[in-house]
Amino acid sequence: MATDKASFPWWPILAGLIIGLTGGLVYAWFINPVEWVNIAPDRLGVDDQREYILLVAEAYMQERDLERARSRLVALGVHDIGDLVGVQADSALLRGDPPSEVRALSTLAEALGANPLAAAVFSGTVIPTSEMTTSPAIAQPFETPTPTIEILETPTSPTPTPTPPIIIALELVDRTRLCRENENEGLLQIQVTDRYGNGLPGIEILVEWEEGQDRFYTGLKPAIDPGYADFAMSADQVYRVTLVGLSDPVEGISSEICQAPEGRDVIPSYELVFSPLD
Amino acid sequence: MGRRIFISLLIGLGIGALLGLVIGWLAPVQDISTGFDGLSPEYKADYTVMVGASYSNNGDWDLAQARLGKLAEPDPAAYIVVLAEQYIAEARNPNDIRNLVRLAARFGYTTPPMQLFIPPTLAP
Repeated sequence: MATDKASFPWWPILAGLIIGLTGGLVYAWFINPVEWVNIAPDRLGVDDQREYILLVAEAYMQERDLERARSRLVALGVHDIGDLVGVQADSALLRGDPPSEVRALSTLAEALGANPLAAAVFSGTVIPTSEMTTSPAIAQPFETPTPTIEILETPTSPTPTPTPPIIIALELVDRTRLCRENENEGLLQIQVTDRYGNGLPGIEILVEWEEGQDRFYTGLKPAIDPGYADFAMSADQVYRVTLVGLSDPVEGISSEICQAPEGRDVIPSYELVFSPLD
Repeated sequence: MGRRIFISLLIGLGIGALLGLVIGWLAPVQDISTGFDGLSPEYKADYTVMVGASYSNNGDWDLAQARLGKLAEPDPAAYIVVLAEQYIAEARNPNDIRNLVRLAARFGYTTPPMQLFIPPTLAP
């Protein structure tokens, strides 16, 4: 009996096991890999997941049903869906995706409690009007009551819901050309403020030159100022700057090489400041 | 002895291949993610509703068609019509039905059950 055990051919079993395992793995991984059908969105590829999130955000813009958007995103199997949408909103902003897409993503991200950078540009942007207005029913509490009965509009208190920008005209109030050797060399710096000097984010800026144009927004560098934006000029061009729909074009911004006091030839920099018309 | 070795080898091969297949299919090394065409019917329907909502919002028909194309339905228009009628029959969310009917109408198909849900701008 002991002799039979000792003579049992284990090595062919082991060799067969190794060969069979290798063959099975090669077949299952490369020749006939598993294909999923009837899947949930969490099995979508990365690009399709991005598309799915964008679609959820766009649907949310129409439906305004946060719970529904949330349940759709939960199907992606991600824990922090607010962050997920916020990151995608910022990526879309930095890639220069269509504003409607960035707006949808940032609006949904904000509704989910995230705070994407894109939200500073595309939602909740309110440009203060020239003067504060209040309901007459509140503004004149000591007015002698009239004997007639009037139906007054219910006074509304400010709410944190995103409000579309109130369009007002802005004008160029300061234009400075600098010819210095520093880190701002060749930079077209634009500052947009309200009448109290507060920076206004989300203002679309159009910069045009002979061979092209570029569009960007204030608020992308909040560490400098919410109303700040800049553009790197090339040498020997003439630029035109417009706050889209808000200002007249500022013409003749020339990047012709100049000689800095330090002696080196540099591209000049400009500082343009826009404020509301009085 | 030679026969025993041969049989042992076959047994090893069989067990090994079986193990390899089980391990390989349960722990795939390749990206097994799939596209929208692999979604379950329920998610496909919801995806279509979202496409309809997006189209209602932005009016971008090319984009809506491209998105519907990702479902790889052989006849997208027929799929939308069937889905819209199913939503109507099941008395689903009227807004969803309107969005689906809008897509169906844009494809050029409206059926009697859809008449109540045709958006005013699309009504003759």
